[in-house]
Amino acid sequence: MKQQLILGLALSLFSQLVVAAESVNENLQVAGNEKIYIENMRGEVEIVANSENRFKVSGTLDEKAEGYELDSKNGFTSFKVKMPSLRNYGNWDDQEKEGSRLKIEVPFGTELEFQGVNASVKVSGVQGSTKVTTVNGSVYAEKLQKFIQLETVNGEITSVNNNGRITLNTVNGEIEDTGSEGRLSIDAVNGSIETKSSASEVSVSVVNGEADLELTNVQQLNMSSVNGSLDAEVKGSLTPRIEASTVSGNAKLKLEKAISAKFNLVANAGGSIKNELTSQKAEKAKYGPRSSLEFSTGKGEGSVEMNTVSGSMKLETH
Amino acid sequence: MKTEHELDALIAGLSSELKPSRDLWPELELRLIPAEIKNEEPVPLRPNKWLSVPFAGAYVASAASVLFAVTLFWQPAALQPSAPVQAGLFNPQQVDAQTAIVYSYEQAKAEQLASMKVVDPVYADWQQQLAQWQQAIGQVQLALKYNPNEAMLLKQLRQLYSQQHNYLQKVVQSGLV
Repeated sequence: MKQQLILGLALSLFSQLVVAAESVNENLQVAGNEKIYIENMRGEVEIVANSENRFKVSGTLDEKAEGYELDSKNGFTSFKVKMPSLRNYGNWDDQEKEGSRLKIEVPFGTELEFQGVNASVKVSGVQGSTKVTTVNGSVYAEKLQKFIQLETVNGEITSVNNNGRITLNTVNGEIEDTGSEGRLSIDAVNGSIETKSSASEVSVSVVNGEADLELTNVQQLNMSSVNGSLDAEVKGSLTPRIEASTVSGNAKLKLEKAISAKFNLVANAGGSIKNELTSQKAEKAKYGPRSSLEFSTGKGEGSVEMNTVSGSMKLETH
Repeated sequence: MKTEHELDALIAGLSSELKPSRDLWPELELRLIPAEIKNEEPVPLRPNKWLSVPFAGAYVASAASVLFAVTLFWQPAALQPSAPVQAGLFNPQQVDAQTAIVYSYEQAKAEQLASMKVVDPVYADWQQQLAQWQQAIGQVQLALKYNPNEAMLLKQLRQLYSQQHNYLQKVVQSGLV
């Protein structure tokens, strides 16, 4: 009786292991501009673009998965790893050990959307549009085009050589962007931001983290911080439109010496203003804590507006 | 110019010290935040001599937002006109820009908080996050008292509220999944 019980348990465990090791291997013809939706709650997923008009998925499914769903018709393809109804998808620390391991190939022109929870994603080469949303996991995106939207809550976002309308968003993670072009928008609540970008329009917002920007040929820059610091080096822009604001954080702007712009800097409640671009100094209001600095360089074609409540602001030159 | 000179002369004539007519300590003591509440505070913003607003927790902000909306709409029955009250009595265009911003976002926030049921554990510290924005909003509002129509401050106020709104939206949606 005891032996039967042990055998039964062993078989049960074995059957679970078999489920855990369920593999997937699909390969189907799709349109070059297919709209592809992928849903995988846990694990690691790599998505690469190919020159064939084929959707391929291979690898192993999540140990807790109840199979998968694959639908493809009329230019729409959907691949979902079916999971039981879980309120909690496990600990972030377990992600290394649990979850799906998938490699997915899509056509270059795909309009891609990925959704996960405890999932890390690596996506490259998609030229249609890409939207990636995860909660606990990192996102790595390379050589994407058109509309690019990458979002996580607790995780890092790495964006490399992307071009288009790029939106990067995290709550607690860090964001690192290099070689981006087009329009770039980065938001982090507690994480830090680092970018080396050639985008013409850049918007950066951080609450507690720091933002370190190295921008080439930017035409329009908006950056804001609550408590964290902003540090922007602007190269090759002679008539930019820049707006920067902080509450108690510091902001530093390094500009071209030959910049042609009107400058308006205001520290509203005890903040400080330091100008190393020209010889003008900030003036303190006769009554109250406000101090301000207004001046123009060149023909005053561009515009630089900086505002703080109680932080410090600094203008520098290369 | 005459007014400014007169003001300068009056200021010069003022005593540099002013003693309160009564002992202020008992009232100050009452307003001090208990130590256990202080320990729950998020990372404080950098202190500044002009900005000494006491920390207000997210629950206080939430309560304030509801109170604010209620105050704007509530009228005692005796004061109500005989004609039926029309919706939209509050016209943001008839108040100053700051009030309009605060009103619209606080109302939206009250609605968001009311719709909140379950919060995903990844947003466990949402109240602290909200409190940080609220503290920053408080600092901007205090600066606006010195410079009431400063466009950049108003823009900053709107931006902070907008960030807080977007964050809260994510928190609310996390509980709906």
